[in-house]
Amino acid sequence: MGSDGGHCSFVLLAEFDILAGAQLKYQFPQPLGVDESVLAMSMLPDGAETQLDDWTIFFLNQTPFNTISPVLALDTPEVKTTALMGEPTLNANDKPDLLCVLNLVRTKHDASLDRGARVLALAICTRHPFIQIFKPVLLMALDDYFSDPSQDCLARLFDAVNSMDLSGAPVLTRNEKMVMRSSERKDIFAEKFTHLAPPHQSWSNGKTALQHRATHSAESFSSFEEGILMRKDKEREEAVIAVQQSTGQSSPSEASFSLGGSAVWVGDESGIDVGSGEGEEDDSILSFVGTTVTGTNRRRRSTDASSGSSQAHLKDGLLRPSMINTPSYYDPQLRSGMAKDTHFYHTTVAYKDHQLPIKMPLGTFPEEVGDYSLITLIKAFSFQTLVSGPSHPHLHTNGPQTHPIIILFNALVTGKRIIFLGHKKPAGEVSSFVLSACALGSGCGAVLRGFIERSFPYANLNNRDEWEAVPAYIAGVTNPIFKSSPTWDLLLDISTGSVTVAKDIHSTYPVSAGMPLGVPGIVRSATFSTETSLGSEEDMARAGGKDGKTDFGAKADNADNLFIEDIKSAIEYHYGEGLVRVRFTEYVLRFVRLASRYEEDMTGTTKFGYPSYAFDTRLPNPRLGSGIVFNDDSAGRKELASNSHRIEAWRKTNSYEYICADFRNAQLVDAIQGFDVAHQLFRLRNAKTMTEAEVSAIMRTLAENVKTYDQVVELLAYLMPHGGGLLHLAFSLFHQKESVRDATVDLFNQLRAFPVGVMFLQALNHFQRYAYVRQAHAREKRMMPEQQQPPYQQQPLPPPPPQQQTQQQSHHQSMYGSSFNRTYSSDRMVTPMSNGAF
Amino acid sequence: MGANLSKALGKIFGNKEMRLLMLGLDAAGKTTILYKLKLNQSVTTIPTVGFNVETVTYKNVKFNVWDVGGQDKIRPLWRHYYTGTQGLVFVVDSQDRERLDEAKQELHRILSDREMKECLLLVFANKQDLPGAMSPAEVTEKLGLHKMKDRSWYVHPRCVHASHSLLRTTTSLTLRRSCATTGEGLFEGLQWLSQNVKKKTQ
Repeated sequence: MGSDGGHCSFVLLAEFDILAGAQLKYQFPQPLGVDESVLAMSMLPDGAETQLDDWTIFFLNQTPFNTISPVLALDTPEVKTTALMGEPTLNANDKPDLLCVLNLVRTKHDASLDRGARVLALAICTRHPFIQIFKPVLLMALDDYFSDPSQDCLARLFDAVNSMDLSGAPVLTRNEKMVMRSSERKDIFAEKFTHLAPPHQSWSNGKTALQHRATHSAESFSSFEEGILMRKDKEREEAVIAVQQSTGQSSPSEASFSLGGSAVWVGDESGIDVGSGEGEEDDSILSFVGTTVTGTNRRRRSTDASSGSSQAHLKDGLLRPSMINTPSYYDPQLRSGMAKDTHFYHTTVAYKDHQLPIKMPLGTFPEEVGDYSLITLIKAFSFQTLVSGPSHPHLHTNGPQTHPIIILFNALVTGKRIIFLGHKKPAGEVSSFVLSACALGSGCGAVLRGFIERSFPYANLNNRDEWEAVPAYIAGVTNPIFKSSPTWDLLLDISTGSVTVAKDIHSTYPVSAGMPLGVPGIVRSATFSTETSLGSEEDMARAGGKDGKTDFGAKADNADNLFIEDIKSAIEYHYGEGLVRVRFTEYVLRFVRLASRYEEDMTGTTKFGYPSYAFDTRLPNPRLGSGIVFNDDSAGRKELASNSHRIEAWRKTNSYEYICADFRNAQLVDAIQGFDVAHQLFRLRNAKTMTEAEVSAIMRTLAENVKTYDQVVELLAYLMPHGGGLLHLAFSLFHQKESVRDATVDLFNQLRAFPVGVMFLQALNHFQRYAYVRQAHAREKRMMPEQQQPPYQQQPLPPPPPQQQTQQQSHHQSMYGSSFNRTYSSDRMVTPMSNGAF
Repeated sequence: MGANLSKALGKIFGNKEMRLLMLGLDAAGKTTILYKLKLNQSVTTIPTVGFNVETVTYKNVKFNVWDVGGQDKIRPLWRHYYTGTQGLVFVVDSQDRERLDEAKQELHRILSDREMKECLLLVFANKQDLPGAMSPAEVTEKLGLHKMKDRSWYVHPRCVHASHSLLRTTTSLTLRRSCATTGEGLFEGLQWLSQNVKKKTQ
């Protein structure tokens, strides 16, 4: 984040001259050193004259033809592309940073002009992936230029964008981003905004302020939670927040810039605000009925916190002294205008007399450019019948029944040349499809890399030979001429939804023999227990394929098909883009874990994952398991076999190289070291049977290794809320062994030390939360029997009778099975993947 | 699959597909001709930034007509459309005497491309209704078409309602009349193309 400006490196203006054609008119502040016709033609897309407004997106610094070389080295790269794991890769300096160009082209019909119209395009070059935030200012600046064509207009735009202040925006680590993205809570990581909040003297404002704040806190809080529980109420919830916003401060801009003092607080105590607080009383009471989370939030440092009935708690909780020591990060008043939803940082761009609001997303990864939409992509390509061309094992991993989206994913990860064609469609639309595809392949930027660097969201004929020479390009075009000259491997027509595989795909990518799994010759067959069903051998041979012309064992219940069906029904039920993105992140994560297992089976070791071991008790210190887990070994083998082709092909691509580097890097910098966290969580969640020793080892290891903030966030990053969050860990609170229960309480206590951990604890169901509080309480008493009880712990909960505990235990055992999963997830409309998530 | 089948049927029943490329200097009237063919009405056009493509069916022949913008800086893009082109429709602004030589050079450059060796040439001497327009014979001569021995070519005088500013000075009556007559002329051009392409394939 360039805190010192640097949001915009260049501003460009192009015009379609009625005599000369596409022409670059101005480059500000200096020429880029790129062929002007390349820029001009990218800025004036085919068919621009048929759209009133259109957006194109393209990148610079990808290949020699679009690499900038400014004459003056004004433009020092202040933002390095960072590896996924949050650290710069070793070779980051070898390549110049990718520059993203967001371009607005407009056709203005005017009968008084020669030939009746004027076509102008204005573009800004930026390093930020969230280019969408610049759209409003670009629209205004182009208007400006139409009315007063001069280079000053470019200078104004350049200065306006660069004076935008993002310095207050929290910079999140990869894991924090992961947690944020999968959380629907609008106050997640609100504590990151506290540096913008009023200093602490405001706490001495007296009880009125305190109470006032607390009320707001509780109110908004419960409505947040409710929003998650009951989506129908979303509008109402937003309305409530809007009310708070409108009364709490005058404008977002003022809030973000004038938070230095207690000005906001003083305003709060005015009559208007008190009134608004009362007005919301009804809302708040209503919300309390549905949830009890408020208690935990405000008193999370006290162990009796989260239990109990909400209203009474809330009422007497308001004046507790403990609150004073606990700044309420969640208070919408406190975090004021900049964070009615902490997923975004709110600021403004001052352009001429206007203050344009900017909503900068905080959880964006470099591979996610613009406001892409996976839902749009999935909706556009959802019919198997529209797939034509030969079947190829890299692409058709489930034979003719392979869903087009899976074909696209396979093409992306195996490095095929892909074109999105949208004849008579706005160039902005094809661009968006390309960016969505990049997000799809990369697991929404969270798993794989290397897609954006070979993408050409708007590509055209002008430098066709050059971009077509980029291996595995992903391009968006509006010209159907590309249909007839196949340098592509996969063509997706966004107007019709048809997907065409190139005729000569088999000669371009000869298929190597399938993976000899289940056949002698496997290097590390020990990863599978040998006694598993032999009946599957036949399937194996069919699925693995002996040469290119097998039918790849098309099955309707193929894991990919089930996954897509799931996604489709989630979309049908109007689940948001956020959920779909998280699901694809999981899908790609699992693909990578599967590939890692495949590599291990084939070569004996894997460069981007933990080796596959089952839990081992024989050693004096039991060794935790690692690697991907299959619920059923024969299913696992089948899955490996059916994936073998695409994994083989993927291992030859750049995204494979990147993930190996990222994994090596993660091994060095990860906060949790020495064991495969995902494996343990998967076991807890999905294993049908688990020995006491294993549960004990897992919980102890977690409790010992998850203590610092970074460790907590890393653990939570693995626990997608829609996959249950802490649910499966919390079952260990009911384990028959006291040491397991204690380890769980320890772990949860450590989570509770951080606001984000508290949020996850709040998401537990009442039963689990109660159990946690009770046990934590009991443990505390046990450990400090002499200590004086604070007043609010007057009524310690009686220790549960032993028989109750065993009952819970049996319940617990069954909950580990898949039955509970299903109960839980039918509620969420999305079932876990048949073979598990990680 | 389906496309192949219909092609095969087309061969049996005499249906044909023909790919035409319409080129010419900027403001020659290419887009106006395209939409005259497609919609049989005069549309007001603005400069073509990229291209237009439309399918026109005339006497059992399906013409895929590509119209590509003709401004100086985007002429290098023309070559991308050559592959598979069976007929070139070159449009000349008959009134633009100054740039006829430029048009001639462009025409010869196109025809010298290897990909365009086999293709037919149809020249439209457009804007015949404007005062001082060159006659078809004059255009033929100035384009050096007589020197082309090894190529079938055909010049047709015609006019269309173009959005050229000069054209606006003419009375609307003239425009309408001349468009009505030349509309037919356009299809004659297409017919000539389809007949000649038949000869070639036979």
